[in-house]
Formats: sequence, C-alpha cells, structure tokens
Amino acid sequence: MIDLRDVSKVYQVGDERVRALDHASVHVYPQEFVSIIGPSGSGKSTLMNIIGCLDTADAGLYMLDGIPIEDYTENQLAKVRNRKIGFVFQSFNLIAKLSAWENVELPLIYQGVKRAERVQRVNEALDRVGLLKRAKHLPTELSGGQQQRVAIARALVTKPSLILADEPTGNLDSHTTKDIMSIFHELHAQGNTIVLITHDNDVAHQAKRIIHILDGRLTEVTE
Amino acid sequence: MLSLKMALRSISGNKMRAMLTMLGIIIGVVALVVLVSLVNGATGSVTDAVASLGSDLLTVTVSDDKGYPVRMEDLRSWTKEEAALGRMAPQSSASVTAKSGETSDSLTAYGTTPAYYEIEGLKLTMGRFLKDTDVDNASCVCVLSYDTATELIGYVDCIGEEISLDGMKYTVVGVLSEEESLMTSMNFGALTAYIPYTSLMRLSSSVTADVTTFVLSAADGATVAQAETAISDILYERFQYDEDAYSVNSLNVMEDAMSSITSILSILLGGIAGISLIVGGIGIMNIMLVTVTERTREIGIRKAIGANRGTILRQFLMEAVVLCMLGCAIGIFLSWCILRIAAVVASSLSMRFALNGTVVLIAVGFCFFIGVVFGLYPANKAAKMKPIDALHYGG
Repeated sequence: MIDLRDVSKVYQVGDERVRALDHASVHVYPQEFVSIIGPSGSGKSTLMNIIGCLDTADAGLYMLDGIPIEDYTENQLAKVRNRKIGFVFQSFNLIAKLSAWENVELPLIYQGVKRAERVQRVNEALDRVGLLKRAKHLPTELSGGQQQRVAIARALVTKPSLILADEPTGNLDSHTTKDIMSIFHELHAQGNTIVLITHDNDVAHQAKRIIHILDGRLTEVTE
Repeated sequence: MLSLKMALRSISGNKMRAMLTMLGIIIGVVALVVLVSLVNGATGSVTDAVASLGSDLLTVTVSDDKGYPVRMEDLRSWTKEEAALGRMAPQSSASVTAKSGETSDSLTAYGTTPAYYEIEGLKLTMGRFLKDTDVDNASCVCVLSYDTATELIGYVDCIGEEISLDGMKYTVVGVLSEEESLMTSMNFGALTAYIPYTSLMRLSSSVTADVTTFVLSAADGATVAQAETAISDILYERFQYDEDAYSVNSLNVMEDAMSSITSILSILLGGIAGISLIVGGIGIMNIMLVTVTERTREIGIRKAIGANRGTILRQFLMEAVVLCMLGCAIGIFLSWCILRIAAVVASSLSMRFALNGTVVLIAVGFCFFIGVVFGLYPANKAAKMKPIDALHYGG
C-alpha cells in the first residue's frame, strides 16, 4: 500500500539546513490502522505531506499502491490525492463559503462524477458520519466535532485507498475526541486503511501499529 | 456551469467590493456605448438630411476660364448636346442690403435661371419661381425664402409686395415653402432671395455674363456619375486640358466626408472609452490579486482534495470574467437609460439616439477580453501555489 524507502527531506531555514526526514522507511499494508507519533518538530508533518502527495521527497523512493510517484507532475499528484487519499486535518480545513454538503461534494466534482451519482455518494458519506441532517449548514454553524465529521465524510466520499489524518483530534475536547476516534475505528472495521498522525499518546495507542518519529528518524513499535 | 455558480457565489459574498471593482468597467462601458451612440445618432441625422436633399446635384466652379468663359448659352447648348446632362443653371450670389418699409437687413441674393428650381428641388408656398422671360429681360422680380418673407416683410402672403435690394426695387413673385431645402438649411437662418441671373449682374459688379459657378442635374435615366463624366469632359477640352481650372463637386463627396468624420469621431471617442475600460480591467486585476491572497488557504484545501492547476485557474479566471461581464451588463443597462433620457431631451432637435447594436457587441467583446487578460495573471498565481504552502498559509 504505502512503501516509503530511505526517504529524506531537507529544508533550508535561513542559513540552517533542517533535516526533516532522515532516511525514513515506512510500510503500510492495506486495511491497516497505523499511527505515527512524535513531538512537534519531529518531522511528522513532513512525513504526512510526503505520504499525502502534497510534497515530494528529496531522496528515496515512495510507492503508493505499487506506483512510484516521485516523477509525477503536479497535476498527476493532484489526481492521486483526489482518487487515492482522503485527508483529515487538525484544523478541519473546510471551505467556509460552502455548506457541509457542498464541501463533501467538492472532491467528486474534481473527479468529474455525474450529478446524480454525486448526490447519492455525498448523502451516503454524510450519513456514515451521522451528519445528514445538518448537510445544509455552513461550517461556521457547526461545532468542532461536527466540522471534523464533515471533513471525514469529505475524505470518505471518494472511496480512497488511504485515509490520512493529521492530528484529527488536536483541536477537540476529550469527549469529542472519543466520538471522532470511534468513527475512525468504525471505518477501519469496514476495511479502510488509516494512517493517523498525532502527538497524543492516548490517541496513538488506539491503533494496531505505532510508529515513533524523532528528529526525522523512525522507530517502529508493534503491539 | 458549476464554476459559473461558484464565481457568482464568491462575488455575491462580497457585494460592496464587487460593486466598487465593477465601477471601473461600468464607467468604461457607459462611456463607450453612450458616446459612440450619441455621435452616430447626431451625425446619422445630418447625413440623412444631406442624402434626402437630392444627391443627384452637381456643382461646377470655374476658377480659371483661360479666355474661354462659360456663358449662359453654353449651358443651354450643353444640355442639348450631351444626353447625360439634365438641367443646368448658373448660381452666383451677392450680399445686398434688403429694405421693406422700416425693416432693413442684409440678404444673400442668388442670381440664377428657372432651371435652378428643379435642380435644387425647391418647393413654393405661393406665387411662382423665376421665368425665362424674367432672365431675358433682367426683370426686377424676386422669390423669397419662407424665413425671409416672415422676417423682412412680416408675413408670408406677400406676392406683389415691393422690397428694395441695394436701392433697386424688386417685386416679390413667389415664396418658398417652410420645409427645409438644402440651400436654406445650409444658410442657417440667413435671409435669401432668388433673382434672375441677369438682374444680379446689374446689382453686383462682380457678377458678369461669364458664369463661374453653375449647378446641374443628371438627365432622366442617367446617373450622377455619367453626368459628372460628361461635364468634366466638356470642361477639360474647353479649358485646354487643365484639370485645375475647374472643379465638379457632387453631394456624394459631402456624404463621404460626413461619414468619414463620423467614423473618426467614433474611433476617437471609442478609444478614450477603451482606455477607461483598460483602467477598469486593472482594477479587476488588483482585486483578484487580493482575493487570491485572501483565499490562499482555500486554494490549498482545494488542491489537497484533488483540484489541479487547470481547475484553480478556471475558477479564478471565471470569477474575473464574470465580474467584468456583470459590470458590462450594468453598464449597458445604464447606457440604455441615459440614451432614453437623451432621446427625450433631444427629440426637439430631430435627432435619434438609440443604443448602437455594434458598439454594444464591441463593448461585450472587449469586456470579455479584458476579463480574460487581467484575470489571467491572478488566476495563474493561484494555480501555481504549492498545496503545502497554501495549506499552511496563515496557520
């Protein structure tokens, strides 16, 4: 599924070169629930960007579904993100002007799905996160937990190979965190591959496999 | 269709800003459409007036007779000899002082022959025009224009009244109708009277039996061009093959001149309005750049969930074009209102002001062009953003 081999990424910050990823290798198999845990500045955002095809590595090999993607053009990467990856972000990242329903619809529009099918799939996705009743609301009219559920619905709607969640509970209280995590468990039970990036030990330990990241190096802890 | 909806939504989300941005385009469109329509309306009515006043008229001016002056007998014989030539009449004028009772005013006296009536397409209200016998006898009779009769004598029904021109007594034998003829409209209200050519020779020392200016019409069944060729050939031979010795002018030349003035004015005004449209376009580009920066995060989200460069480019380009076209539509509507008002105000001037279809099409096309040109740079800037940079913009 995800096959990351010896991937390095270096950022130039002022005069300093920051090695955000140092020969990192990760394998994630289909239908796995993996969490990547590390303190801030450990390189987990960089890792997430590379796994999510938002950024490309300086060195190393990244195969997603058996396809090496480093030579992909920007538009090809956009297509990969659209079809294979569903993002869930810490700050929800919903488009404020669009209703919950339209936010979920957006990736399907980019995929070129016909209207009738879009309606059906969006309703399905919103139903799975239990928000069909609030479909017409704008993100600002929803609570944090509800917004995150809309974001999860948006990630689900394209039926991606991988759901990539970056601190999905970082902005939520403990009660809502439980809610959101139970949705992830449910999705995992339904056969979705989930990679969850967090700095929260409790959240991380709900996954079947935990990968620690520190200073750009990975160490795997299997439970 | 979907991107059009998105663009409209994004614009309506910030109405005040959109309105101010469109103002530049609105003003540009109004300037373009109204100015060009006004010019076309004004000159259109003048050219129509010229065209309706018989364009089968030729005016010949002899500047150098080379010792072979044109006489009235020549005019008569040319008419008989050349099939293409219709009526001919000498036309000389002199400024004289006209007196009637206590009233005294300067007046332009045209010396001519009866043929003049037909050639110029004059119309009589009462009495008669000049007769051949008047010319033969150099009679002191005159035909007044309608305005001259009312201003000099005080009333139109003045057949048989006597007026004096430079001290010589003339009997009024006819009054032209009030309806504008070309000559009266060209005189812009100056008093005019028509007297026998021979009679004018006595009044003015500068008018002699040598005709220097005469008018002619084409014969029935002949075109103006044929008449023009015929008279030119005759004069060319007579004046020793010197083309500069005489000139033959038709009203077509005036019409051509008029329409070229119209088009020059239209282009000039259109150009000025075009500049204001370009300024409006720069305003749109400015606001679109602000919009792109404001929505950096949105662009990041859209790219993360699979929008490619083309999609983002189209979205912002569409927004700029829609902004332009909305401004254009409002501008055209305002122009229509302004022209309606102008038409009411100017109805007394017998001018027709209407929305000019061509210029509306030009305005629409130009606005679209401006929307694309000035929208392209901001849209491209948005499309080129890296998804991670855009996502992390502003937190």
